[in-house]
Amino acid sequence: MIFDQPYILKQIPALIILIPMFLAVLNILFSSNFIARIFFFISNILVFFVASYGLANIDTSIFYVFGGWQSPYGIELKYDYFSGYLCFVVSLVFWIFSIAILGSFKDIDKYISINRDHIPYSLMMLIQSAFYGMILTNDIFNLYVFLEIASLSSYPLLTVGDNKRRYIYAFEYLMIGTLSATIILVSIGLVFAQVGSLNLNSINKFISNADPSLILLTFSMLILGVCTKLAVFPLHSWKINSYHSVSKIINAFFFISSPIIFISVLFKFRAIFLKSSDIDLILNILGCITLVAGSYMAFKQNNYIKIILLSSIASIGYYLVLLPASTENAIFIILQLILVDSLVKLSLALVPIAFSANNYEISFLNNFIKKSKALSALLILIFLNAASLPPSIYFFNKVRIITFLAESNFIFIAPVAIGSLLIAMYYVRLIRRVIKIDQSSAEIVIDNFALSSLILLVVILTYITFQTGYFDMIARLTFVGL
Amino acid sequence: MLIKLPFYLTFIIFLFGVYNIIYPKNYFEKLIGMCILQVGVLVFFVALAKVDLASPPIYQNIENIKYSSPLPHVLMLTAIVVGVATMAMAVALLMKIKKKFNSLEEDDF
Repeated sequence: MIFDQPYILKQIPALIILIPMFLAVLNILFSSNFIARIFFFISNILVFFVASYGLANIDTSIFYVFGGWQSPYGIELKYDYFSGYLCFVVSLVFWIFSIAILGSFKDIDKYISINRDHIPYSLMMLIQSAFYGMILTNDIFNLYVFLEIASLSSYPLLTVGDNKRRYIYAFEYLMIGTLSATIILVSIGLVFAQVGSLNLNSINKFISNADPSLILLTFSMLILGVCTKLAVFPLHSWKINSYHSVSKIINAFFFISSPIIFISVLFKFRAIFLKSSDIDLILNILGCITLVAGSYMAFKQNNYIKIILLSSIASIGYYLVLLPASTENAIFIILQLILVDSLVKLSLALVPIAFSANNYEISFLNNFIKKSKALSALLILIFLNAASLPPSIYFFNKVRIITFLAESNFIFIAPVAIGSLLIAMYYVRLIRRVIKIDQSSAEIVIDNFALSSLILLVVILTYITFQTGYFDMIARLTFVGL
Repeated sequence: MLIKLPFYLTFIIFLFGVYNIIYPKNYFEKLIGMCILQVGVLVFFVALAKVDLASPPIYQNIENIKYSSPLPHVLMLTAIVVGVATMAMAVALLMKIKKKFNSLEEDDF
């Protein structure tokens, strides 16, 4: 019975959360950096297999109930097509990341004493567990609890670096994170006051009976809290300061994962704020401002890590602009964007890990073509994908976004187009650096594991360029489920 | 008016907390402002739990008795624990900042 497919499928939501949590605790017992990496790799590969199995075999939503208390009284996890797809994407990204850092022995260890350098990996696994919990939970207070688990685990990680001001930036991140979590908690309280339940299914059913002005207040506060966590312009400076001052591995870890999770939080509440056109307008305006401002600030930067951080902030604008739309086409685009954006972000984040230099001013890319034509070609492919230039899948995705917005008579289409153009321009600037030949030459140390991961990523991105049929299926099933 | 008094109190505590986060230049004072903000949220949830003419949610062997909702109280137990953990983390960071810079004043950094 234990190997019956329906029995295994029912356990998947709990397994996805518990595997990294269990290995995080087990890792503490072994004071070894090497074993910590192995545990990190095992945790990510197991979750990836479980998430892939679940997504391939799911045929209806799975509700995992804790303690036998059925909803709406008890806490439950909901594994449907959308959350299954998100778990798959996040686990894929983390799995490739865990391969990339297997060989990075001179990063985190530089900043922490030898008897504690395994602890960051436990914290990262706890954060992963919390992220999966946020994707899968069907209870809004449970969402807040997982959010706080992720936040509390991330504060110590943001002190792992050599920047003198890292503790100040970590403290500022703590203040802003707690403030935004408190605002989210107040909005949860307002939802509870109106509906009388914390279960998302009950909320979706009964929220239309609530006072519309109260709905507007509630979801404005929720959006304020979530957008602060997403570092939407102008609430973005904490992200640049804190992520820029930490080790490359930790910077990459936060860079690749946190935006998708908070987008999924907004998506959970999407069915509710669709009832208010004022919230749609707020999201659209925020999205356009973030896209243009983030792209412009990235364009003015000369530091590679700051460029990719600001670019990540800018790309959140696309999600905020698409989220209010309720059509199957919009969901298709969001799903495709989530996967492609995550893989492109991962490839950008792995570049400093694969090619270690003393500093990451963009001049570190100079003369790459002299060092190795193959590596230059790899970097050019990565930056072409990030710039959304043809024939990358990101290009087709962006064309689809702009076509969809034009067909929906979206009034702010010009900022979206300008933002996309600016994004292309600064990545083209990076490509020009790669092929530029001059007298300067940064000393680059190549990490073979991270380089293998980069090659794997480029292969995956090329493969999915030709495999859009799968997105069609998941989008249709998600749309029906909503 | 009296029924809404706890909510007005919540709003005042919230404002006081936000003021203490924004105005002081000392990081420790900002941290205290953050704690005040979290207390405001606790008061808000506990005020939500109150049912008119109901007794506290402690079982009494009396027929036809109305209880206030226990759920927000339970939720706030979790929030208190989270608040304590966040405060501990913040104090640890402040100790490191003090050790490194010999000051907790924002203007000194």
